[in-house]
Formats: sequence, structure tokens, C-alpha cells
Amino acid sequence: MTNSSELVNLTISEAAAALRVGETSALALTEATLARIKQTEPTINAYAAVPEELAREAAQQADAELAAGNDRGPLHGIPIGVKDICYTKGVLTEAGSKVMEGFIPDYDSTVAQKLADAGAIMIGKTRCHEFAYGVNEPPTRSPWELNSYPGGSSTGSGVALTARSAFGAIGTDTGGSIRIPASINNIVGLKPTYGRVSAYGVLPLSWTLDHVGPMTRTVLDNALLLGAIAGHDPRDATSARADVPDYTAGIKDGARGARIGIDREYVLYPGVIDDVRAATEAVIQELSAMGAEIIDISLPEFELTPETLFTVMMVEASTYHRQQLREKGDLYDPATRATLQLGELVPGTHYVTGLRARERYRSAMKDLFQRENLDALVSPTMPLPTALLTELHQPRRDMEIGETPMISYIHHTFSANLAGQPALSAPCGFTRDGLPIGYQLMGRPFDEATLFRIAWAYEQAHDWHERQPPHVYDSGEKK
Amino acid sequence: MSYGRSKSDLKIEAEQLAWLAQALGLNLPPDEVDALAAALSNQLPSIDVLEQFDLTDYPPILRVDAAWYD
Repeated sequence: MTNSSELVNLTISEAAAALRVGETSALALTEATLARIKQTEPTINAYAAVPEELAREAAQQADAELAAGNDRGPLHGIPIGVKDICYTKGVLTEAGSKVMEGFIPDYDSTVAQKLADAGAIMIGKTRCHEFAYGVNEPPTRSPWELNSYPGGSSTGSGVALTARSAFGAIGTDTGGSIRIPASINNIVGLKPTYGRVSAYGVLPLSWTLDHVGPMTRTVLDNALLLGAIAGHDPRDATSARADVPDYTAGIKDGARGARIGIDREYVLYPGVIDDVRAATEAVIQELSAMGAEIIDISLPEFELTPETLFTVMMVEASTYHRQQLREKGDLYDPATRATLQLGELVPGTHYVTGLRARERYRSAMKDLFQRENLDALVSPTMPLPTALLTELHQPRRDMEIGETPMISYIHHTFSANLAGQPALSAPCGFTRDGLPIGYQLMGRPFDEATLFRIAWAYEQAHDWHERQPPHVYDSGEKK
Repeated sequence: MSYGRSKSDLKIEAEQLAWLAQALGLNLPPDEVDALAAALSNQLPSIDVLEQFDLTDYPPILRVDAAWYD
């Protein structure tokens, strides 16, 4: 298998299998990915830095190890992108901000170190919103619709995967920043349980809400990538002391018997457009046909989640940036700077009230899962597909309350960050305009395996995840 | 940045905002004061949404532990 475009279309599990029967090499996978990056970057701008020589050296080492019988596991020799807020030793880490311009860390974040330990090839640093909070500048483009929002804040990770310029990628998620670009770019994204993946060496946005997680093209790949990066880390005070199972062990057991709840009033609220509503209903019907039990539930506390998350996140983000804002305030993008200033003006009593509301929400979610013996909750990932960049912050014309698309995008994703429970987004269809639609499963803490099992079963019945975007051709030319 | 669902007539004046910013040591360019005053006017009433729920028996989460123990 030597054709470059054939190689970049392989999933992680397919590439891993091809490596082990000698059909390809880590160096060939790396060269194919570097070639794809060169081809697509002029159109999509997914990468902030691509350390080509380091990647080639790592690939040669990976091949030598495999040849010597030292197999580090399924990520051995696989090119993976890493969000640019994760420290990478000796590689530019700028977090999408002029504040960080030219910064090269002298140590790896734990997630980067774990990827290296697993034999993965760090192929590049993927672009993100400024400090995962502000603007995405220079802008990354979605190959599904070049003038529309590519998703964020793990923007480059989502776009690189759909453009086939990475086999997997690392994202971070404070209110939806893995799941939103996953949904927009027709890929799979998991926000794991809080503390499941170490945040050491990852620039914080909001300490109590931040999660590091895997982004991939398939559910199986996501399970493989999570298995490589999960685990307790004594250097991260928020890291959980929970065993890491083999996430692929029961993944093919099917959805039969799974108890899946849906709060129709909240998750299918009027902001959900018809195509997304229909796609979500189809997911529910299909899971039911597979033997899952669908349970109508009601959780009034969902109504608390947006204000709670905004209050907590704004104050924590502004606390982290407080000193830097005074020393280098002019280097922040004006919009990011204004949001950070706003966070400083929120009273401490509001923050603590947010923490109390968060406890009420978390407690209600736990009681719901236990009372109904639920395995998961299902919803759309987003109420609508990507929107034109020019309309992102304008009131939606199709809604009476005038919610902006940017606010709508976080309607379904916020709550999992507050409770710290795992949440996975996977493809479930396309709008009549050909834009990807994703659905979300939220699960029990530390039970990512059940989400993988349900999502894998659904994925087998469809080819949604195999469809490729129209705006990145082999020639690299725009449509 | 605020979700902006709460209904309130709160209006922070530019002069009030400038005073607050000065007290906190924030360096606000004059042409950004009005926008930030409007954003704060929009944000502060969020507390009303949170307090619509009875929080009497809910102490603040001071350390996040995602596990459910019972």
C-alpha cells in the first residue's frame, strides 16, 4: 500500500493493522500525512506548527522498534495532531495568541508524553481559539463550507481529521470544544470524565471545567486513543485515581439492553432545526430497534446549566489571565481581552452561587441516572449545523427569542462539563444542504466504555463517518 | 459572553464601569468602556436565573470529583 491518498484515508485501527502485516510503515504514514498537510493547508489552515523533521525521526524510530519486536500498541507509528494549548517539548506552542508568540516549552504535557510513550507520531500543533476562549485567528476553514464556522475551540483538530491530514487528534473541552468541532466536521469526539485524562501541561481555561480528550474518525479509533492518554497523573491535582479499562474489550457487544434517556422538552427545544430533529429521532428509533430501551425523562435542572457554566468559566478564566492581562493586555485580541475583563467584574458571590447551582445540577443528574438505572442520555450535539461566519453572532431569524448560532451551539454540550460526566459526539447524518449533523451520548462517570459500545453499534449501520467534505480535493484546490 | 436569558432593566453606566475598572487595576481603552458596560449589564442578572432554583441544601462545589459514590 504505497498510494499516499489511500494511506491517509485509513482509520487508526486499519493503519495499525497494515503496519503489523508490513503493508505500510510509520514513515510512509508520516510522509503521506505531511504531503496531505501541504496539499490542504492553503485551503483549511488547520495547523499552527508542523515539526516535519521531528515527525520523520519519530517515525523512523517507531519502525525500528516494530522491526525489533517492540510493539507499543495500536497508536505505534500513527500520526496524531495535538491542540496548540498542550505543551510539546521543543515544539512551538502559541495557544492561538500573540501573548504566547514564539514560546517553545521545555517539557511535554502529560497527554503529549503519553502519546509519545504509545509510539504515536506528533505530526503537528492544531489551531485553536485564542487560549481556547477567544477568536480563531488566522481563521481555520471548514472544508464542509469554507465561509462557515469550523467549530471550536479545538478547531484545527476537527478540521484536520475531516480533511485527512491527521489520523487522530487531541482536543480540549470546557463547554463543548471537542464535541462542537466533531459535530461540524463529521467526526467522533469524546469529552471524557473529569480527571480521566491529565491536564498537566495544558494551558487552563477554567480549571474545574476543563477536559482533555480524543478526536477521531471512528468510534473504535476513539476508544484506542482514549486508552492511550487516560490514567492517573500525580502532577495534576484534578487527575482521578480510576482504573483505565480496555475500552475496545466490549465495544462490539451492541446496544441491546442499554437504557437511554431523553428529555425531549430540553434537548428538542424550539432552537433545534427540522433536519437535526429528524436525524436525532432517527438515532433514537434505530437504537430502539437494536434493542436499547428509550426512556422519556425530565430534568428541570438543565435550565440552570448555561448561566452556571458561564459564571464559573468566566471567573476562572479571568483569574488565570489576571496578571498577564495587566502585563501584556495589548497582545490579546480585543474580543478575548474584553471577555477576560468582563470576568473580573463578576462578583465573588455570583461565582459561589454558580458553584452551588452546579452542585444542585450534579446531584440531580446523579439521582436521575440512579433512579432510572440509565446508561446514557441522548440528544443532538448541536441544534443546528455550522452557520456562516457573518451570522455567527447575529440573532437567529428562525427563533422568536433571537438566540445567536454561537449560543445555540452550546445548548446541549454545557451540562456534561458541569457534572464532569463523559459525553461523546458522533455523526448521524446530513442536512438537506449537505452539512454534517452529530448526536451526543452522555454517560455515567468513568463509564466511557458504555458510550463507545452504543455509538459503535450505531456506526456499523451507516456510512456517515466515511463521507468526505467537498472543499478539499486531491489537488488541494478550492471548489 | 453572557447567555442573556434573564430579563432585567439593569444598566451599568459607562462612568460606573470606568470607576470599577480603575479600582480593579484594569486598563480599559476609552472606546471599549461602553461595550463592556453593556456586557456587564447583561451578565449580572444571570444570578436571577440561578436563584430561581432552591439552593438551600447545596453547598458550593469546592473540589470537583466526578464519581458517584452511592
